[in-house]
Amino acid sequence: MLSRIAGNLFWMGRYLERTEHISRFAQAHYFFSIDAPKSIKKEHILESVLNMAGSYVEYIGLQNKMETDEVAYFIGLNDYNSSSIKQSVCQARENARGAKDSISTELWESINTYYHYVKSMDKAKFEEIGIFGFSKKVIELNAIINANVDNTLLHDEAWSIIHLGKHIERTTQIIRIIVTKINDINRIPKKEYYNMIELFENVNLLKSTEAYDMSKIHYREVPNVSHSLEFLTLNRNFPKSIVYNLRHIENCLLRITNVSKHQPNSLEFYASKLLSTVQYTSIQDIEKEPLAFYHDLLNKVAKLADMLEIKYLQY
Amino acid sequence: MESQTGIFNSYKIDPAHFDEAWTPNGDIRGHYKHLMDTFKHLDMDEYIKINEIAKSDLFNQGVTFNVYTEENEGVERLFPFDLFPRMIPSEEWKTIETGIKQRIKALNLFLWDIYHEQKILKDKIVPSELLFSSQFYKKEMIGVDPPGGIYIHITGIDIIKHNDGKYYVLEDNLRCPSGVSYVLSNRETMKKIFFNLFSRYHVKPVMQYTERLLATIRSVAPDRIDNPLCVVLTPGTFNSAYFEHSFLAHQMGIQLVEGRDMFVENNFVYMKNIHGPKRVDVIYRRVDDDFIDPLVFNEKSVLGVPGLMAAYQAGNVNIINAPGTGVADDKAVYTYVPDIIKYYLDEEPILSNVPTYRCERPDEMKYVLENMHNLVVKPVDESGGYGVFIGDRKTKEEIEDYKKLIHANPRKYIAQPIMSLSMLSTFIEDTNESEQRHIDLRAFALMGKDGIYVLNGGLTRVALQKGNLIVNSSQGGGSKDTWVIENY
Repeated sequence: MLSRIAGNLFWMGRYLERTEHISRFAQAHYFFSIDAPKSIKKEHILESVLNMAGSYVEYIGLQNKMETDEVAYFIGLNDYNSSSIKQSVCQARENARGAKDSISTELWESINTYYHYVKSMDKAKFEEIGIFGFSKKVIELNAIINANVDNTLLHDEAWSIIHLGKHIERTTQIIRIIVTKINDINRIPKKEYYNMIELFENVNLLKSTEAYDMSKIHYREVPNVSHSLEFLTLNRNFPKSIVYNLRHIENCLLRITNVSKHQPNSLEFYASKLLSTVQYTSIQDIEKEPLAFYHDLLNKVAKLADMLEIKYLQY
Repeated sequence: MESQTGIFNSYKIDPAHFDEAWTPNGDIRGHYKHLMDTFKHLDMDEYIKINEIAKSDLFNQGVTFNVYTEENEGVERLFPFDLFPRMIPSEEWKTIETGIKQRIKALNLFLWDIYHEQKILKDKIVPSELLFSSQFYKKEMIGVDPPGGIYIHITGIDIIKHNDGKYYVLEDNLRCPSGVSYVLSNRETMKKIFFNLFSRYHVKPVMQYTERLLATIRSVAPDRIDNPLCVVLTPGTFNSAYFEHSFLAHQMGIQLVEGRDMFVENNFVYMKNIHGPKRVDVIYRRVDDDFIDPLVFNEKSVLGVPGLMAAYQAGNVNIINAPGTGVADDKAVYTYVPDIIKYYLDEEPILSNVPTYRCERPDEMKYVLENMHNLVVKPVDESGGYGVFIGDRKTKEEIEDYKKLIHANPRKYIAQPIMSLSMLSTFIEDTNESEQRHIDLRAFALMGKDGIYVLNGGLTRVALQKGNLIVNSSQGGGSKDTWVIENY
C-alpha cells in the first residue's frame, strides 16, 4: 500500500472517530445540563463541552457570552471553528476521497452520505433538531461507517491502518474526556452537596463514553469515580477503555509488520511497552496523581502517533 | 400527431433540428415507442420523485466534477443527469462501431509512421509543417517503440447526428478522454429505476468496460513481465476528473497514484509503499504530456515523475496513452483523417468528418473571415469547449475581435459549418417541463494487443441551456444514458 494512501486512511479513521466522541460528549452534557444540580453553573457545563471539543480558545475569541445554543452550533457546525464536527467530517471525507480506490463502494458511500448530511445543515435546521437530533444522527452515521469498515473491507493492511487511526484517536479522546471530567470534579466546592455533584459528574463521565450501562453491570454498585477511572482505563473487555484500545493498536501494528520480535526503540516495541505499562498499573497508583498520570499517557500516545507517521505515512 | 401527455404535455418540436424520438409531425419514432409508453404514464409528481431518487443515487456515489472559477477554487457539482435515455438501434450502432475501429486503427498507424519513417509526410498526404508546428508533436517519441506498436490505447470519439440523419465525427480525443465513469454510473442508476425496460429492449451492457480496460492495460506491459503492476496516475483530488480517476482505479482494483507517490531509479519506476519501493510496469496516466516528467517537458510540473520519459524510452515502463498522441487529435490534423484512412488502410472512411476549413490555408482563411456568422471557429489546441466561437450568436464587434485573433495566428484556428446537433427530450428542472435539447455522443474505444473494443453506446452529452450547442460538463452540460437496443 502507498504511504500516501496509508496516511489518508489513518486520518480518515481518526477524524471519523473524533466526530463521534465530540457528539456523544456534547449530547450527554446537554442532557446533563437539564438535570444538573442548581449549584453547577450552566457556563461550567458549556466550558466543559468546549474544552473537550478543543474549541474553547476559538469560541472565546469570537463570542462574549456562554450561550447554550451558540456553543452547540459552534462545536457542531460553525465554519470559523477549525475543530467543529463539520470540519472533521470534511477532513475525513477528503481523506477518504484521496483513498477512494482503496476502500469499498459501501464504505465510500456511507462516508459521503455523512458528509452531505453535515454539509446540508444550516443554522436554522440545526436549531430545529437541536444538538440531540444532530448528535444522534452523527452517532448513527458513524455506526454505519464502522460496520462498513469491518464488513466490506479486506482485513489487511488498509483495514489495520484505519483501525490504528480509530484506536489512537479513541485513546486520545477518552483520556481527554477523563481529564476534562477530573477538572470538572476538582472544581466542585467541598461543601454539603459535594457528594451529590460528584455523583452527577461521574455519571456524566460514564455516559459521555457509553460506559454507563456496562460499568453498572460490571461493578453492580452505585457508580463512583474510582470505579469509573478503573473501568475506562484498565478494563480489558470494554471497547472504549484505554487498555482495550492500546491492545488493539499493538495488534494492528503486528498485522502490518508481520514480525513478532521487535527492535528496542521501534514503533512496535514502544506500543507493546506502553500497553504493558498501563495494564500493569493499578487504580490505586493512578489515583495518587490522576491528572499527572493521564497527561503523561496523552503525551505517550501522541509520541506513538508521531512514530507511526515517521515509519509508515511519510512519503 | 400523437397525444402528448404527462411530462410531455408542453413538448415543442422544432422542425429545423432532428429530434431523435419524435418526427417533425409529432409522431413517436418506432424504437422509442415502448420507452414513451413508460414515460407517458408518469405524472409530474411521480417523475420528480424518481428524478430525485436518481439524483440521490448519483450523489451518494459521489458522481461529481469540479468547476474552476476565476478565483481558481474548485467547486464540486453533481454532474447533471437526465432520465430520458438516448436509444440507438443495434444496426445503426454497428456502423458507428465499425467506423470507430477503422478510424483508430488508421490513426494508430499514422502515429507510428510520424514517429518513425514519416512516409505519409514524404508522400505529401499530410503537410509536414502542420505536424511539426503542433505543440502536441513530441520529438522525444521519435524512434520509440511502444509495446505492441500501440499508441492510442484509450480513445473517445465525439460524434453528432446532423439534421440529415447521418452521423459525423466532430473530434477524436486521443490523449486522456474522460467521461466513461459517467456512462457506467448512469447505467447503474438507470438499471435500478427502469429494470423492466432494459429487458424489454435487450439493451447491450456496458459493465464489462473496466474489465476490458484492465485487460488492455495489462496486455501492453513491457516484455518479459508476467504479472505487471499497473497503476492509474491522477493529478490529485483537486482535478476536475478526479471522480473518474478514482472510479476507474477502484473498478479495476488497481492502485490510484499521484506523481509524488513514485520515483525513478536506474530507469525503473517505483512507487513508495509502506514497506518500501515497489516496481511499476504500466501507468495509465490521466496527466497531460507536458506534466508527466519535469526533466523533459514542463520543468515546473509537480504532477509527474522526474525521469519517467527516460524509463519509458528504455522500455522499462509503459505509458497509456503514449506521449505525443495529441498530435493526431489536433483539430487541424483532424481534417486529414479521411486521407489518413485511405492512405494506411486503402478503405473509404465509414464515418464522415464535418467539413472543415483550415485557417492556415490563405484561400480557406479568406472564406472563414468572410463567413464568420455561419461558422463555428475553434482553436486547435483547446479542449473542453473553451475558446469556441459560434458565429450566429455573435455581435459585429465580437466577430471583428475574433478575426484579429485568427489573423494573429492562423495555424491555431479551424472552422466548420454550424452543424445541427440532434435533439432529445430533456427534463428541465427550472420549468418542470420536458424540452428539446441538443445532444452529442462520446464513444469510447480500447486498443490492446488483443484488438479493438468499442464500448456499447457511450456518453450522450446534453447541452442543458436552451439552444446551446456546447455539451461539455465544464460549460453546463449534462448527460444521458445511451442504450444500444436489439429488440424494439
